[in-house]
Amino acid sequence: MMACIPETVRRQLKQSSPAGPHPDENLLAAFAEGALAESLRTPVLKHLFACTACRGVVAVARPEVASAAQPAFAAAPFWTRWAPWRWAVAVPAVAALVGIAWIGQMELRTIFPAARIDVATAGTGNAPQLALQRPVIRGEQSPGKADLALQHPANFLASASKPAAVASLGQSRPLTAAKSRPAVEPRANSPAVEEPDTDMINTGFAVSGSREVVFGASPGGSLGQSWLAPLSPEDVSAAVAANSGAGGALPAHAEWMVSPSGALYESFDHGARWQSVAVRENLALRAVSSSGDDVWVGGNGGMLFHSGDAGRHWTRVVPVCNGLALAEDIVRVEFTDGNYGSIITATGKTWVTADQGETWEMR
Amino acid sequence: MISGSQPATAAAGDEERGETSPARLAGLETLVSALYETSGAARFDLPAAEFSNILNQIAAKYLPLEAGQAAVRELISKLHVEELALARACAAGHDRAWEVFLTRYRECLYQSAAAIAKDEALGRELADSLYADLYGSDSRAGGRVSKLTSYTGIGSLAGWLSTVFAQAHVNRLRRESRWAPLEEENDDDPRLAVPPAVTPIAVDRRLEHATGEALASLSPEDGFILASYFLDGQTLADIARALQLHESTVSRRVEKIAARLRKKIRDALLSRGMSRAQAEEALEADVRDLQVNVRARLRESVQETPAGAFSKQRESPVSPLAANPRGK
Repeated sequence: MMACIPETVRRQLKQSSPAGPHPDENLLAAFAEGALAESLRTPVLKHLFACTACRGVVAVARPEVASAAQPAFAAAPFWTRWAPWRWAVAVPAVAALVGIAWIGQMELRTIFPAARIDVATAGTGNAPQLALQRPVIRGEQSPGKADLALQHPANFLASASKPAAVASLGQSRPLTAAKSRPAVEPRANSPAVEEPDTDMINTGFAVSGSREVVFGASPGGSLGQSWLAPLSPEDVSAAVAANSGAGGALPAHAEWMVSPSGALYESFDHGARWQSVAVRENLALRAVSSSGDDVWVGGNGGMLFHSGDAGRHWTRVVPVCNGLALAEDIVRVEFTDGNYGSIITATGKTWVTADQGETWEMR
Repeated sequence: MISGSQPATAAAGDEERGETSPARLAGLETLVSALYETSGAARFDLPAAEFSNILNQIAAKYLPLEAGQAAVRELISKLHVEELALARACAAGHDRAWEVFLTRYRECLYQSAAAIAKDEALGRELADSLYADLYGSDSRAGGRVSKLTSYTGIGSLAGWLSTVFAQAHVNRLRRESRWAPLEEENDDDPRLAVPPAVTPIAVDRRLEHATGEALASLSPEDGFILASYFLDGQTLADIARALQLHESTVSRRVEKIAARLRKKIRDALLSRGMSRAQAEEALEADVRDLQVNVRARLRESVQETPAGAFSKQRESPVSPLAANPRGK
């Protein structure tokens, strides 16, 4: 039962009126956005306590239709708030995930018996960790998986006739992203030319492609990128040579991935090796999309960043619609080209732009 | 070093003279320079010195004279400097700035106005009216004064525009309310209904004082929640959005505030000689005779704020919020 207050309190509240001047529109707007420093917020709150006029302005300036700024939890789907139904779904889902993870792990051990040895012999000093951390190629249409695990990355690149798909790794990432996508555009000499699939996987972790890169170069090195399994110059040379000689498909663009922990990674070799890409500190990303050099990443708290130079530099984009900025968690980002794109929030709202994020429409 | 104790009038004088190193920003030249770069003010031909003066004005407006360099740094580093530069460039009549402004905000202006007015035609009228103000059709002393000059960048420009809309809408309805019957106005926008007038009758002084003390003991945020929920009839979701809290958190706070108020008042009544039964009876009674003026209790706390951050009294003392739109 909702609380009630004595009538005496209600009467006194009605009789109250502010003593001093009213906060200006800047303060009221910043208050509504939660952008006021405590030193200013407290007096504004004191004023609002006593001033029905200003409370009215704040309330009217926050129309129901522009509810984008509400916290993600406020508009959670009904079923997620219905406890019995929620548990009824959650328990089987967890059980299913555990089962899939176990099966996946067994499968990986069967397929990649020498995975650790392979990484270790590749010259990396952190082989045990890398074996668990780096995404594993599960090529649906690529050469045999056992071969892949034992091959040198360059050989794999040369022999892969189709883009590899990235799937989940049992122990290190959720299995909800089992759907794969061909994320690499084959070069002109590639026998198979496929349209990039724009249906990205943003559940658990997100994968995206593509961009033009030179193998071996560490783009954006100044941004603090670090290779998970770095390609040596020999790897690069071998990859290029193998590609040019065998007519294999070098990835024309990088693949992008957001890890479960919210970090952004890119891969130039069909996901065999990943390097982290720094966007901004303390940023929890949840989705990525790329088209050519344009890369968009979205994360918690409405954080949306765009890079027009394949991840070297990032610019924050604040979607605003009906006067309210997006503050919800972004769970999916889709950009079909440099201009048109959409983002989906945790509450299911879709924000659409047709001008590179300059203006947004909420649906 | 920053001269936090320097009179505001001196800072204003600096601004008028267009000096490049305003007093409040002393020692922060590097930050100001970086903010100038970030703002992109140069592409709107806004000189660094003028930009610096704008920041100085804002610091003087929101911070007390004794505020230190750290406070000034915190304030200006959180400003929406890009939007601030855009707004000031528009106010100065820069064509390219207006192009950018219209590209970014025109559609939002109309949508926001329509949402606030709850009517597309009315919203368009409201937006056109505001647009004229933004452009500066109102001339003072022969000069064009744009409302955009009052944007300080402390919040987003879109949020500011929305608040300006809301203010204009509230003012407009108030003006119309002088001619329209209250019932009609309630139908128009329940958020802006006029609460019934309070008719003072006889007073139990003990209950009056106890209630006043209990209300005065509330934290500003609790007071805001209390007034918004019980007086304005806002929903828990609305209050949660305003305070960036979880809806369930606000729900629990409402319960706690109500319980705490009741306990404080009862304790105060007991300390004033009432029996427990009498105190409970007084709390349950529909008291329509209280004449406590909370204004005096709130005046002290409100006046602690820098005067520059607050404007003059609003147009009308009439409450713009419904007595209880939730229909309770």
